[in-house]
Amino acid sequence: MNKNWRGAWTLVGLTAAGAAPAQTGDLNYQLHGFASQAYAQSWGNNYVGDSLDGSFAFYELGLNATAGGGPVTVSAQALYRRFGDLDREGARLDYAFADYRFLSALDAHAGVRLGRVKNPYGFFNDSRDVVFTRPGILLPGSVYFEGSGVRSLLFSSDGGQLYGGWNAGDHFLSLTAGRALNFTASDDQKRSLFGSEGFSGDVDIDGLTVVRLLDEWAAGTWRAALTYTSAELSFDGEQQVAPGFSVPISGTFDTDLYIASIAYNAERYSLTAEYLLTRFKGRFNGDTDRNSGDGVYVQADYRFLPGWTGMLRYDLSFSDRNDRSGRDYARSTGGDRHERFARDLTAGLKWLPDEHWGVWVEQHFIVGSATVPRLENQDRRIESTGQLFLVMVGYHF
Amino acid sequence: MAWRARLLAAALALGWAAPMPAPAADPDVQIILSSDHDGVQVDRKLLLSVYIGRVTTWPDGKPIRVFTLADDHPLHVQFARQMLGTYPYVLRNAWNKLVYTGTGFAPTTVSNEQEMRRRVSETPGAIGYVSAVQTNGLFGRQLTRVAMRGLGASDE
Repeated sequence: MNKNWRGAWTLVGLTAAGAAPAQTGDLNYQLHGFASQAYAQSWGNNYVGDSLDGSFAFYELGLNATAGGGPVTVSAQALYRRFGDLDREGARLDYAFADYRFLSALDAHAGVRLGRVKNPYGFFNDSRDVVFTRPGILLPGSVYFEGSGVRSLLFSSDGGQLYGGWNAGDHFLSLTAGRALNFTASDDQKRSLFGSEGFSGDVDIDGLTVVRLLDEWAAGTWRAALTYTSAELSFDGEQQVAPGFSVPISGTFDTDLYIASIAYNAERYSLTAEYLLTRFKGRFNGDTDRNSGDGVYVQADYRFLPGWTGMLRYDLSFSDRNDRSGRDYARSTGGDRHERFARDLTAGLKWLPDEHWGVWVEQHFIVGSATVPRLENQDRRIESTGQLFLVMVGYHF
Repeated sequence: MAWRARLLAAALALGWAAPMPAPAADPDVQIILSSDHDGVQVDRKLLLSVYIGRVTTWPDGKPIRVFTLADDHPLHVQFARQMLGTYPYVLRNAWNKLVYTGTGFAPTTVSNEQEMRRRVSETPGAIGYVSAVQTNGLFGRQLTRVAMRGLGASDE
């Protein structure tokens, strides 16, 4: 899946055209866009680009169009994004699909989407590139892999998706099940996955499946979801371990991810929590290997004045759920136990002065280095604690 | 402002017909429909489904065009709370989600009730809401569904 998409100028040109929901007979179409720019300053480690020195290498620019008439809708989004060294793809076709809704009744609907579809993983994956739909400047690393190469593999896939929704009393249940065509990771994805430029070879992702069951009730003030994601990840190539010296590595892993999500929205406050369980099982250089990690976050939002929201989040990631302290790892490998977990306490503020603009400020206090992007810290020692300050300005129409 | 005269004429001619059925349980906010779909019974459940983007077509298969006031407009706040049982920010989150996942259309935001009436009347398949209080002030009686048909028939 090569999302590289030449033609950022097209995006810029279209942006100038402006926003316009419109109707012509039975045809309905809308054009929307967004742009955001962050500044990141960190202590301890680089978390976003070279944030130790202060970094502007985190921005997003997107434009999408949706048109539909009767049961058929087509939609596409062009995105230009930078996230330090972890995302340097630049312009890309973010998603582009045709949606055929073959059942459309007052109490139920069902349909199929074909093309490059977004994966409904947890509450936020399918709109994670728009700060206005995220729960903060950064998504919780525990569930959404913000600082790792898994992110772009998960975001959208070329394939198909079946979806359906049912009104059952006060509840609205929806099920989305998607399957991606087998694909080969891009150079960007490989670099992020291996944490360095040192790997040369192929990484294949086969049978990527994402299934989400979502229940919304009490007029959307309560939401709960279960997500199952599965793929076979295989790689075959050479890893450079010292200048001029490489070793062959190969492996095949069955990867399963399970998420449980819940959110409650009251008038002044919201509570959101999601738990992720990961299972890897397979062979690495001929040896059987298995591992299970997990992570959870709890976030509270408080709307204390019109347009102003305060946020507090506690985000926990564990590389091995049977060794959450990392002590077994430290004993058996001599490594630093802090590499095996991360505890991120985040306080944030959001200001929406009008319907188009938004300003976000966030401070992360991080213990443990499991979520530190290796790619951003290649020539330096990784510290076991750190802090990250972020400010972001966004516009959407 | 020909439509106003026509509306008044239509309303008078129709003798202030029966008020809109449910969900107009609350007298302060009133649902209005375009003339081509004014026979549809819009109960609270359907209203929520339409406004949150789950139901996108009328029973006859024609697309629903949803109109809303701005998130912080007092009538919108009241509409969200009393008619839908939710809050403007929950609706906005749902709409942002539809828009940025490409899975649906956000309602068209209009700037005031006058524009709401005009847009609903001239758009086939449209649904919106107005303040029943203001209508009382203007015409002495509730703006009715039938009156809206008169408005919709105008060729402004």
